[in-house]
Amino acid sequence: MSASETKSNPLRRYVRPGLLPTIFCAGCGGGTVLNCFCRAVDELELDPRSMVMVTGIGCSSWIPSPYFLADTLHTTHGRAIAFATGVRVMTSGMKVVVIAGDGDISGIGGNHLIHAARRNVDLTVFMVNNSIYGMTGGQVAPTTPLDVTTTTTPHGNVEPPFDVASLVAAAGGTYVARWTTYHVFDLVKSMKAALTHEGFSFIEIVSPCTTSYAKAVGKRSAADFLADYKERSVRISSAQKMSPEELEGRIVVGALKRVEGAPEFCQRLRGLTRRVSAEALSTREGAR
Amino acid sequence: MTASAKPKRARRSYSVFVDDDVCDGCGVCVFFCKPGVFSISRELSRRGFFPAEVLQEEECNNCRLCELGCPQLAIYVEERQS
Amino acid sequence: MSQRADYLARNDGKTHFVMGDEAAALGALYAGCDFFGGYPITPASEVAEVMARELPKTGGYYVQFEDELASISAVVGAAWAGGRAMTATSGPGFSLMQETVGYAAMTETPCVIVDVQRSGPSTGQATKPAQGDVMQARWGTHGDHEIIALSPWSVQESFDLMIESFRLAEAYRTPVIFLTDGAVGHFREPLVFPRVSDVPIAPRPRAAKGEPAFGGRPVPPMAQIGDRLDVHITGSTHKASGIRDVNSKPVHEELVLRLVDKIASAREQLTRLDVRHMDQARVAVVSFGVTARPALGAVEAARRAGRPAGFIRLVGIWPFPGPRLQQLLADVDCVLVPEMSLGQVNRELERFVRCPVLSLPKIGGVAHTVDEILGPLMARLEAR
Repeated sequence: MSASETKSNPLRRYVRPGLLPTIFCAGCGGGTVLNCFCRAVDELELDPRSMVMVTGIGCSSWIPSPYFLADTLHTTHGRAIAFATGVRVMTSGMKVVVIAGDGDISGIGGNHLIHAARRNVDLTVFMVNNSIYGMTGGQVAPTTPLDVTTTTTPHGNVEPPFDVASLVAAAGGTYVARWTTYHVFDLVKSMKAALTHEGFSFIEIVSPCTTSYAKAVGKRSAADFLADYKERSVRISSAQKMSPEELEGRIVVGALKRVEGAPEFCQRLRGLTRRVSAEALSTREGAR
Repeated sequence: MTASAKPKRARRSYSVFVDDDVCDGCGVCVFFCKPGVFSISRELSRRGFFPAEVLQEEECNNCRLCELGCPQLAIYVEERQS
Repeated sequence: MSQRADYLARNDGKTHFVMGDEAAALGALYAGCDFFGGYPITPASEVAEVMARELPKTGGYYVQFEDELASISAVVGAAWAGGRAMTATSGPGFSLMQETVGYAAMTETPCVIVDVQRSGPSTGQATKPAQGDVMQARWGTHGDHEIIALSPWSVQESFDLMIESFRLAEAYRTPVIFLTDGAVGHFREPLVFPRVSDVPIAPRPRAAKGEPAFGGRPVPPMAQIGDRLDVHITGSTHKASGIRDVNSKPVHEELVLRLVDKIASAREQLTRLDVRHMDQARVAVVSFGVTARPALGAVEAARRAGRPAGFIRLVGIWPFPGPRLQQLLADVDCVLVPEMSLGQVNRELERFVRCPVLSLPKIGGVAHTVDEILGPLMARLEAR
């Protein structure tokens, strides 16, 4: 600590008072995601009172709940995107942000993920991918690599993992990116792009679990993971020129898909209601 | 604070603050910091962690990777008014 | 008058010939429903179809979701964003929704869930009516909770009770189950529309800054998303502020006891019974939904034959009107409970009355005939 009086990070004003330190394990990427998110909100000069955070169940769902100071809807496992869709339809002018984990969003929540992407609902979704079900003690997840031993794959994982970002892009997401918690500056930039994009924005954030997943893969600390991300990451511009073999085991980072101006779900729905209610006025029929 | 020898041109300097009350010694700042500003203290903080401590503040180049990467928002880097 | 009211007013005083599902949907419009999230399922799909057609005309939003899980989740989300939200389903879909019904109870989310009961279990007889979801409506979701469930027996009542369901959802800040069945849902009867100006939309008290939104009084005012109160809504045990606290026994007790009490203690006000021919009755028939129609036929036939039979129809199923039934049935020798199931209401009634409770179950998707109830009724009346 510096000899002069301690000053604290001004981004703390975005955190519910009295709640730091977070309950995250030491080195958990969730804390870094929270930090980057606060920075993104700050740089965009967004008013948190014009935002609503919707989360699911799991460690990553605790990133905004209770830490980020804004309206927060902490929902059931896997359904945050569905709850968020209901919120988004009934609010206009509020930014609806979903932050949850890979198990929550792509496992139990997979169906809601692909349909919201298909609809291109104007949501900002950050899926924090630590490749494990962390909160429950380290069970295999749909994102866990092959052969990894977890508490429920003690003899090795026989399932290949999802490439969730690609899944979302294929399903219809209109801003899709992947970054890791090593790429903090890029992540902030990407979060800003996601928050300002109108349509289904999705960032897969590869993030260390320094307890459950660390144990599974023989790492000891956040630094081990960050060094690994640094080494294995390859930017999309380079990845496009590489073969599948060369990309084996690599983490492709960057904006993987960006489509501006695609029809957005709530806009279409509002347009429909406006048109139909205007038409109803011009006839003389009653409800039936 | 150690006084460093003044170079030919005045160099900006930065104060690096680590909040001991939220730091849990995860080492992310140590990893990120190229110039080696941080180390992990050998003394327990009052919360029972070995927190990060500022070892070489004068080496700070204001990259702010530590500030942004810190999972507990424990770090703040501020330019010193000369 | 608003555009919505203008549109609905066109039916002021009119009579239409519609099926129960349609009447339920129309009732929801009058209740101020502005969000429907649903998924097709027999025999409830008509509720969705009417809402898809009519809800946008009143300025509301209809969304068909990918499954029932998304539907009920979106309904809750919409409610927290200020909507008067509902969904409609049947047994298998209702089973899927249970987790979020519990979430709605725990977070005190006003919303209405229509269950048009069909023959189960599982896929069962998808197109045939039944009454086997009564206990599921009460206990389908895990943990300690209370629920409000209403049961119509006619097309008109489908309309009227939907309005009441929305009102109760707001008054008690709770999910309300509209427990109808495939018979009432699909048969057609006249529906008399009220004047829309006579049907006020139930108020939703809102929390002021600093006011606890999850405690402090039996039914706290709601702090909605967008009220700039940094509301924190969670299905975990929480303090009166809404912030999660799962480590404290007193916090959990205070919350759950309040949630349960706010409805349990209102059992009297929530009791809704249709009582006929009970004076001097020696044998009573207790029924609900479509089964109450042949039940009434049987009781009236017995009375015409000079026998003291009584009729009690449950309109409010949960909270179960046990104490009032106990009073009404105090002097009765025996109670018959015909149900289109192997018996669920009968078990609940047994907890409250001393006299024998005779279950008259009928499964297979066919409603009781008058004779199927009259036979045992006369046998009991003559056996004294």
